[in-house]
Amino acid sequence: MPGIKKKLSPLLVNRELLILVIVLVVLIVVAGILTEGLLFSGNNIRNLLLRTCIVGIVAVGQAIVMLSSGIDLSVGGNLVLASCVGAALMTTDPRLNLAPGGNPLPVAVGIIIILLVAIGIGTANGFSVSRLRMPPLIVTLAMWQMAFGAAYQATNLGQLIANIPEPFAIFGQGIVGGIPVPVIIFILVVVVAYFVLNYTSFGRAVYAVGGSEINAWFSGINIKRVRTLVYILSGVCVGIASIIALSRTLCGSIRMVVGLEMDSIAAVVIGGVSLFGGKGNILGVVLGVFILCVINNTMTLMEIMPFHQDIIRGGVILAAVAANSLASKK
Amino acid sequence: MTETPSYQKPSGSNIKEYASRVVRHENFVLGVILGVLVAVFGVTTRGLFVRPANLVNVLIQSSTRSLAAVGQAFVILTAGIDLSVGGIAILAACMGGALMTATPGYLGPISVGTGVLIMLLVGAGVGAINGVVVSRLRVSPLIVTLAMWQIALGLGSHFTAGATGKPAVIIELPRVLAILGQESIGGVPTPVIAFIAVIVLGYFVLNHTTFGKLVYATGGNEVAAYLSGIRTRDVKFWVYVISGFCAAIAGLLQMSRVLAASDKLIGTLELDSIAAVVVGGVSLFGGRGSLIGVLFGVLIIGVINNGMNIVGLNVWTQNLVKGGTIFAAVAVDAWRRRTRSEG
Repeated sequence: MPGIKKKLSPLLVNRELLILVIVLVVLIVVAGILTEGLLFSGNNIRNLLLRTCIVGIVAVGQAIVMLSSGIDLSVGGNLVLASCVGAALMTTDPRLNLAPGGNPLPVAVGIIIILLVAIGIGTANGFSVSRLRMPPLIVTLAMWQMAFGAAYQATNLGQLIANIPEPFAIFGQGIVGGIPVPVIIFILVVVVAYFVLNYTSFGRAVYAVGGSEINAWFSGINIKRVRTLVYILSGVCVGIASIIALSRTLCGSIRMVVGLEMDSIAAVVIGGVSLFGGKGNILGVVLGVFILCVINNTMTLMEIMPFHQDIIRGGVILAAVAANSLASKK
Repeated sequence: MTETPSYQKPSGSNIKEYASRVVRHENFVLGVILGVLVAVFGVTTRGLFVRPANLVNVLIQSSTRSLAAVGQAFVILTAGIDLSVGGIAILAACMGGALMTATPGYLGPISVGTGVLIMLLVGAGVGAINGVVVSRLRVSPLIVTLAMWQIALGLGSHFTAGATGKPAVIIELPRVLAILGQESIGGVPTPVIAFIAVIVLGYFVLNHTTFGKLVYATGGNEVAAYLSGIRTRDVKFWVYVISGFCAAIAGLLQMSRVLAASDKLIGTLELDSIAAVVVGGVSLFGGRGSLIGVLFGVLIIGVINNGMNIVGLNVWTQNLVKGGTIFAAVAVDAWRRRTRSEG
């Protein structure tokens, strides 16, 4: 017996992660029964994984921001704007192409521009929060609204932008070594984020700033730099997710994703990151993403009306934050 | 004509000082912004905007927003935020509509008095849940009210679905309901009266009651307030109840204006109410701001919304402009705080 206990000890050490794993396993079993096995069909698994990857990559960025006690509500608008600008520059449809001279830009340039747009918005958020000392809630909410307005212009007043070059499809639809490319990208993002948060001085600074800004300041941490960087990193994550989202459908539209800010925040909260910052773990966030996406997917498979889904989702978030709060009080 | 007034005539420097105080006062700045906006829209719409009928229209359209904004102001003054107001307004309207409508397949019909009472209680009740979770469980108000917004919106749609199972527009509401939104008393439309009444009432509570002082104290410095014996948890609880109650009245007013209820009755009330409060100079960090400023904020947002509609801007471009307005207002607030703390 002691041998087994020793083997399991790393898992048992972190009680929160263990609870999340148990919740996820129970959830999958229950969902499998409720959907009469539909959950495990090949097609559904593919859909579920893709949505999980997009939400997951955005949630990793969101988690970094929330660990520093900020919040990024602009992610949905940012993703739509970056994808639509990229689509408008790469499309071969002459009516909708915005590239100079009407010549579609090569895919590589398109990717760079998508990343630049997303990072640009992240930088604007970070600058406003850290230098202008504006509240992140309002900054990112206003940015979300403005990004949608700008995306509307980029899509020539809300049209669908199709005819995007075929090679671009690899990021959302490609398979390498039997594993879908989005999954590989998601794993890479998680690994990098885990490394940065746990093994670099920047990572420790993020936790320190989120835990207590004054203490962080007295320990000589450049708070403004940390606060700027977390929003830029969130922008990077949104940029990567934009590429996958656009590549999956090869079609840019202002309605590409709905409720991404809500889903990413919910996943982070379920994963145990405190909204007051300083506490939480990126592996918990990954589990939170899976829990949320399985719930969403199951509700869709069970043909629950969208507004009833809203009620359940809101309830899950409330329950998660209440549980976190009660657990941390002890 | 030459007799001197009984009070002491202010000397030149005093007048200058007084004038500079007026000019530097934030409500003066807001007044100027409002005037400029009215002038700009007046010119760009070739006078269409400044016709008296349209100006009254702006006031009527602003009434729903002013109700939500006053509740929101109470919450923001304690350094909280209530993102659920739009959801609560829609929940109250849809539930009230389902209870009072004569259309078969819904819950009703019950009497108007009972229906309205239930609506207001539901608003206050949802606000109370927000308040309990925020003040007792110490969860960030942002996430609580965001989740509550989604729940309330979903419940609202649920009530409009009735027996059919699909969200619909509830009609056949009792005519009596229209009094609040469509009639006028002594030539003044009732929504405008409600608009003014709620601002006056809110101003009175904030400036002339103990509770108002407690709200400012809690928002200004929660620790200091707690140490001086204020039950900050209770204050934080009650502001969410007030906000939920105000949101329910906003839902009632909007329902009364169109005599129908649906889950799309009110657009982005949470965003508009926060915008009005913030543009009005209430600090999101709590403890600073006045309802006079909020009044200006509501009017400014109302003028922008109405003007953009008349000019014919599409919804998305309007969002761009509104987002920019909020952004600018918050930047000014942050700048003011910085210069104050440094100077």
